[in-house]
Amino acid sequence: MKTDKAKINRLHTGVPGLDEVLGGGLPEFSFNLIAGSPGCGKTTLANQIMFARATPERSALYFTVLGEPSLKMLRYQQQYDFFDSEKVNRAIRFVNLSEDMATGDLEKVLARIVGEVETHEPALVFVDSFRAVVRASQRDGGSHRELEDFVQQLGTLMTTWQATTFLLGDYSTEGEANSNPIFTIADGLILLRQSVQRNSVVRKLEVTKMRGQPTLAGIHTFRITDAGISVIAPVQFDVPAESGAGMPDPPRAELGVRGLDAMMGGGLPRGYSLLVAGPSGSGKSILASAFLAEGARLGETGIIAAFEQRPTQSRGPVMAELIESGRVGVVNTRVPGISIDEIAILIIREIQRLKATRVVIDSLSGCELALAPTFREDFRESMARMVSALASTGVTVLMTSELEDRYVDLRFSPYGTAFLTDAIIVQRYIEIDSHLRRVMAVVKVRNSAHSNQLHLFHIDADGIQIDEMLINRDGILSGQPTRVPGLSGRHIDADDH
Amino acid sequence: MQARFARMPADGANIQEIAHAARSLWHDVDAALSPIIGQRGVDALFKRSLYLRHSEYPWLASVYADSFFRNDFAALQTALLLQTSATAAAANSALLQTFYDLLAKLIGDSLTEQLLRSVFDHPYSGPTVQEISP
Repeated sequence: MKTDKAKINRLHTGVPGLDEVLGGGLPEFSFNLIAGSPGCGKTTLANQIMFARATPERSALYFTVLGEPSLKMLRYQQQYDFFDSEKVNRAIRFVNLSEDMATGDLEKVLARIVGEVETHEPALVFVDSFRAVVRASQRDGGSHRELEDFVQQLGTLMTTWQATTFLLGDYSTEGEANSNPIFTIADGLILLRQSVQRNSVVRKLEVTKMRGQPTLAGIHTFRITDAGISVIAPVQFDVPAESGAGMPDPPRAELGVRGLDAMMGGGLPRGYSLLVAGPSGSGKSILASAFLAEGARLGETGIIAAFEQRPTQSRGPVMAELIESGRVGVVNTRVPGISIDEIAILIIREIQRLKATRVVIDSLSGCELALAPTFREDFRESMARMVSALASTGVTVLMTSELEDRYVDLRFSPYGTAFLTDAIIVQRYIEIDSHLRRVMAVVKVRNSAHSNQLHLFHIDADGIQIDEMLINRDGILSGQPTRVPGLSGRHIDADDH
Repeated sequence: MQARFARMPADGANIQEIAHAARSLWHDVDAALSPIIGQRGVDALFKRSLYLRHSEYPWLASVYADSFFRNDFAALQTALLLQTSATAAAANSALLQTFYDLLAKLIGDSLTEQLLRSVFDHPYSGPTVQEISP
């Protein structure tokens, strides 16, 4: 008995991120539906797949049915980089069915499609838009049954002719999408939509069905740029092995602030994520810059994803020079409708490009503001995913978090993101002798001894300078410490622990 | 742009040959384009070309009026037959050029050239790729 199973080839779509979401590509000879409301990018997606895949040997037929007049479609689609005029009439044939469709006779339309398929034997077939077929059929008294038969025949025909087929259709509601018989017949179903929240519009894609292969469940955002569509697939990563008892201590990354590495127990363990929390102006960004500059001094490259300040101009000449010389890469986060997943992808791409070992995200507060409103609700979950993804690359991460100074409790992050990180440094303002002073403490370094002392620090032209430990004060975290009689402060050395 | 079509009289073609060649050429244009942009798309571009050229060749107005419904270019052939060889060749050449320019403005030179290449490789075709003004 033969047990060889039919092998289903998966076709690369040529749409960045889509193959991952589809679970490896499109099944060859599948019968797919690309559905969504007008203007959501169906035609662009279809054209992009077609231009990526079609060759003179494995050609494509693109049936246009009004809908969008063909002249306009050609006019607008050629604005995208993927459109290659040289392929038209060689690898790609556009076939206008509007006159056949005007008769409302679906048999005739099917006969025309069959004729073209027999003549050209395409590997890819597109029918744009299928909604027009439905309307034409219903206008002329065609029954739902007739339409179902038409789709059934088309599906069978295309599969036997060994063509991978796409029907494009305008469907505005999911209820409609689910109840329509076409959706049952299709092997694959790609739904596109535009999510509007306040004045932000985000394009989203969902593969609700793809026979025979596991797709990435969930709703994924996509962008349309001059290059065409790119889907923001969630970052895939391997969970790194846990370090634990018996494991050698990981090497440390110096932070570039004299005295602080000693407070951390010898620097920040490599591969860790560090949260630096503090109120506005306390020196978080300066610490972040020192972390990158120290890396550069040691011959490492770094990445900065900055959300508030202009990274090249506002971080001083040292950072500007590092960015200019390419030792620190900047991730552009000024993109409307951006999500954490997309930020993670941009950062990881930069890590791979620059072989970076240090990453700064400055700050989580700015990051949240930069997100489209639709993504803010899932901020914590997305952050957790991003931190894990970054950790999987082995880089050492420093994130800053704006922290409103509250002297009644000790908090590290307004988002509850503190638990995500392996290490925490907190900075605060306190009042001493009618002066506003800064203090810093290491709150946590996972699996490592560290200082638990509160140190005064100040910022000068050379950056952060750690000063004496406050040993003669009580109630420092209340913001208004009181002097303990009989004790005096002392200056500490970096190694004084 | 001096179309090769315009040289037909100089090559010794008579008005019947010119009118016939013109109709045949428009059929080829139609055959190349209508599967892609639809019959209506071709008709609309042809009528627009007639409209743009009728101030120069007022007799094209009758073709414009006649071609309101499905055009098989018979009206154009008939109108050309009433002209001198030189006028007919020049008018049709101008008409082709206008049609080509309109299409190129909509879908770009590169794609227009790609779609009409087979037609304009014909010995009595209108514009050649090299002759298209930028």
